[in-house]
Amino acid sequence: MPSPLPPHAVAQLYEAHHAWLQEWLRRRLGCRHDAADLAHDTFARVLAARPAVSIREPRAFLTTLARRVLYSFWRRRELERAYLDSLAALPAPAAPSEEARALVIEALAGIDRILQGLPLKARQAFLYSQLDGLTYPEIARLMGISAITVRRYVKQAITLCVLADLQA
Amino acid sequence: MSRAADPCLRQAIEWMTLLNSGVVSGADRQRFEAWHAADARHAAAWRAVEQALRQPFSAIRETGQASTASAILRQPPPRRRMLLKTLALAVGGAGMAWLANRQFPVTELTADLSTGTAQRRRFVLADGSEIMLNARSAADLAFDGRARRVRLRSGAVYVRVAADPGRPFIVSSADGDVRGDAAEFMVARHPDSSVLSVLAGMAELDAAGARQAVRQGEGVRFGRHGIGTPDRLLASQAAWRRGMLVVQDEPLDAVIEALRPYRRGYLRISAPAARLRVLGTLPLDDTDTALAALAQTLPISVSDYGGWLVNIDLAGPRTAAPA
Repeated sequence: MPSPLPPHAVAQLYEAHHAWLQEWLRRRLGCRHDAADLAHDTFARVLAARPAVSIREPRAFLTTLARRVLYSFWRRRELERAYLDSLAALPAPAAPSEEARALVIEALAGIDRILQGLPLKARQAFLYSQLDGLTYPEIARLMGISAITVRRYVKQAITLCVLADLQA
Repeated sequence: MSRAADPCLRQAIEWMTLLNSGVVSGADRQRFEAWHAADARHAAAWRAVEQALRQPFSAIRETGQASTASAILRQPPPRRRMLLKTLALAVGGAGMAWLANRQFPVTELTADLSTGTAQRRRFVLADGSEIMLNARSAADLAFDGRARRVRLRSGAVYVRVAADPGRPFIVSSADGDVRGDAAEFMVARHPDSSVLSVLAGMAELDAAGARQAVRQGEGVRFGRHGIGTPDRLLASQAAWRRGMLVVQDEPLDAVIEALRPYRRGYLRISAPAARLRVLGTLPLDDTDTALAALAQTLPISVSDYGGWLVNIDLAGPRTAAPA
């Protein structure tokens, strides 16, 4: 596996392209604060990235990473919206604290990221098992698939969790 | 990725899958205990899997919102179309796009130009005009004192014509001729017709005995049966030159046809799946991601048989999740 970029290369990249990247993000987000945050996240990814070749086209490289950051940002907003909508249905005293909400949203985005790329049914079967505590035969009945298939789905998802944990 | 292939870890995942089933027999438990105790590496792998599975969910369990979280995460991405766009945005760029930026000077007055799978090439011609070939495309040049001709044999070509009052610039496909004197336009050959998209200036189309001027920002389909009505949506067919496939409410088989030149191996699509309508932007230089984006946003299953054959079909009926 190629080694991460040396820190001074990142510093040069930052020096030369940070302002440009932030403007690129601002045009897509329409908000200067979000753009500043996401530009920061993008450089954090540069530090973690292991480019297989030297960066010949720094701006193309940066925008590729920035697009992933943008995607996570939008997806997270979507999950946040869905979560807040579901809370709105609760009676006020049952509403979780601000801090608990933030933790849940963070966790939702994290799980969503881990399960990215898993087919929808596999994802559903795994969540029924993991979060709703259903048994494989119960999930099989609910989803109209065989218990063997549920088991295969859950194994795929567990494997993704392990891979994500190894890479963290 | 070497640790992921670790046999102890694989066994631990297998055990975790079994023990999570909710219907474990006493015998299974005993076999697990024996495996766990047999080797310190087994115990370590088990701890790793347990942690990997617990950590992402701990905050949700601690706040007692497991079933709310489950219901949210079980939903297919709700804003399908928007997501398709963002997904496409998420991957654009990089890939093979650098190819598009390399220029190949062409000094001969006649030349045969072509591209392979997933290649785009830009050529600068002797008169200063520029042409770009889409993937799996071929064109012949024939320049002389009276005219500059490009014959499109397959695929698609984009041209930016350098003005030359004495010599018209003509791109011909099997379906007709397009003439533009200081214009930018794209001509694509499809199985039973061709499409002209004008990006700048004006082009004159001559097909099936009819003539028509097509303005900037318009596209038109032409073939044996004549010239269609100008349509702004068709103009976006030229987006391949930036490595993008822009789809404005078209059937899925048209999308797959546009992806084929960018993928080695065969993309097969069933007739019912072919009729689904698609709207969005997809990256041409990363067809795996393009297919994943389609699979995520449409009710289709995409099966990859070792990279050489991809089969696309309608997904089986989805079971509604309980409220």
